[in-house]
Amino acid sequence: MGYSALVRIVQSLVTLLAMSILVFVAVYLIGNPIELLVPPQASESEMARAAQALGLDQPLPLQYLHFLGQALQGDMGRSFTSNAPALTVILERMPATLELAIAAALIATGLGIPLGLLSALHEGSRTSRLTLGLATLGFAMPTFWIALLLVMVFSVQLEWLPSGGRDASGTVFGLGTSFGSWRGLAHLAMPACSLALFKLALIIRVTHAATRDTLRLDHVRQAHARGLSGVRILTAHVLKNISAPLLNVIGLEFGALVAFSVVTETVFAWPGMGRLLIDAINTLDRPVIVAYLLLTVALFTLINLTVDVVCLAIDPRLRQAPNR
Amino acid sequence: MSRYGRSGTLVASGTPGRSGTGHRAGSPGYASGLTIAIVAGVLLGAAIAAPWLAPQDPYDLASLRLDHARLAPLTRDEDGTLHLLGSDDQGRDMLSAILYGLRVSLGVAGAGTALALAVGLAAGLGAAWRGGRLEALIMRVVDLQLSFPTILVALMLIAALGQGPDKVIIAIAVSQWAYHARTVRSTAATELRRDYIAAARGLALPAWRILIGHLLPNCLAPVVVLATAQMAAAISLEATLSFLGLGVPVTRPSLGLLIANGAQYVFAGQYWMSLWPGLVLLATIVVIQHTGEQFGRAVAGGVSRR
Repeated sequence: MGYSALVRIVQSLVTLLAMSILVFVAVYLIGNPIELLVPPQASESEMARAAQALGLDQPLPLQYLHFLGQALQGDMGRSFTSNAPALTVILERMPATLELAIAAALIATGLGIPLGLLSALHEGSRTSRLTLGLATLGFAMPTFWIALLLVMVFSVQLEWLPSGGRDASGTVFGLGTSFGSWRGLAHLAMPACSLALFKLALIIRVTHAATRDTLRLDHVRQAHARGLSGVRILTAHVLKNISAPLLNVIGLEFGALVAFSVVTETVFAWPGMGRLLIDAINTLDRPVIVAYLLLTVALFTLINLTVDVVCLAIDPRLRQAPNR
Repeated sequence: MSRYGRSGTLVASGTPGRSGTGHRAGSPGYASGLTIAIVAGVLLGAAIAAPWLAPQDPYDLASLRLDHARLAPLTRDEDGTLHLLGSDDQGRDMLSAILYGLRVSLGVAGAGTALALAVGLAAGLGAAWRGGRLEALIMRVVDLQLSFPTILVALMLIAALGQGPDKVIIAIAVSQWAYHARTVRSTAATELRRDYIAAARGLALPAWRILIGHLLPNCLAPVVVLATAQMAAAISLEATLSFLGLGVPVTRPSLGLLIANGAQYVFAGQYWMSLWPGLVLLATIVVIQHTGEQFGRAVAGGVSRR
């Protein structure tokens, strides 16, 4: 267990390093930001001075080493557009995005696991088929379009929910968050639901498939033969078996929720870091792009690592054969 | 036994991919194969025949009139032209814009999927054939990439390369090749142990003939299933990138960009500019996903009979 966990941690560090190189090289290949920052009538020497000030005249490997050294100290350069530290700019927006992703994850797992279980327990029934049918539809629906549909129905037609923005005036434990007030929750409802839909469909399908496969296993059938109650079989024999694959999916998908919030934030004018990334891409604000990507990659690696270690802890089968 | 649902159909233990493409058997028959086939035919036909079907050429900027903008569905403009699905904020007839948009969506996604398939096949076959370090390297890269969501990979590429249909195609290919590579490698590794490969080697055929003439055709089935599912994902990805304004140019909108253009008017209750292209997009994705699942079932049947 300890050894396997250590291997994963080292792997994660290597991943982070590799990704930082990739991100840096990829992003620093794009057009010359100096042309955007310096007025077009600027002379050659003015351009050169600006490049020097931003460190853009150095060779790429040197720029990278410098960048890596700075990044490890939490300094990812200053935003070309706002001149504030890139990391600060993103960290300011991060709570809004995490809040959205957490709300969506709660919806997706809170509804998805029971629905998936039920549809597998009552395989072939009308409710089961309806659930799976809706999951198929949810699986196909692009996030941004379902978001617009929600706005059409709940904001424009029914006028129940606000069509955009975030209200973090309510507080929980002294932190301003949407979970702190009804107005906040009303603002959060549609973004979270639209973001959750795809993952909900996915979790229903994964839970359904895993449960169905588990129900066929000998030990579950034997538990039935022993006369154990349905609830006991479900908690002790089925849930225990499907928890590791499920946890894997949920962990991975939480990261995907953070990445996909780019889309939801655009539709609902949610002031998170996803919207920031789109703006940064459009203005070629490289420090912000790099900081966003690195932060997301770090978040991902951390989530993957946590999931792996937790899975190692709860599923003894994984500890025996580290390679498969 | 029956209380646990239908008895298990043996399914090829393909790739339980992150996108959930490995799903099978239990999915509901909410739409019969015939309906799916008809819808698929109509969509494909409409995309191909767009220039002949569309009442207006949405790419002909000279013919667009701003005073014909944002007409509701089923209204006639002053010239008496009926706008069945309404018109958008540029004065484009929605039906025409959707027909052309479907073309763009299918074209870009199709090219991206094909490129991903080609790269994935090459990498997967190469890894299985050569083995050793090359295989370890390729599969490590594949694992690394698959641990990140496609949208993030695509955004990273767009950030690096800039915008445009060609960039979207590259973004699709780069974010999807790893799925193909993984599937091809595992299939090829199994196939390589079979007798016909040993026989081909015994005949001292050149490596390329064994690879292309013998190995490749036998690795295709699971990849075709995967490619179909990935095509649906590619359409969705293209639509998402275009919706974010990072995809195709505004003058030649895809379905995703049409939805984005209409999005601002949704708040004013002018739903049609986003609703219709969205429905077509949804229908396209559902049809392709369903086809993929059918392929998957057919292939799984073939495998279990072996």
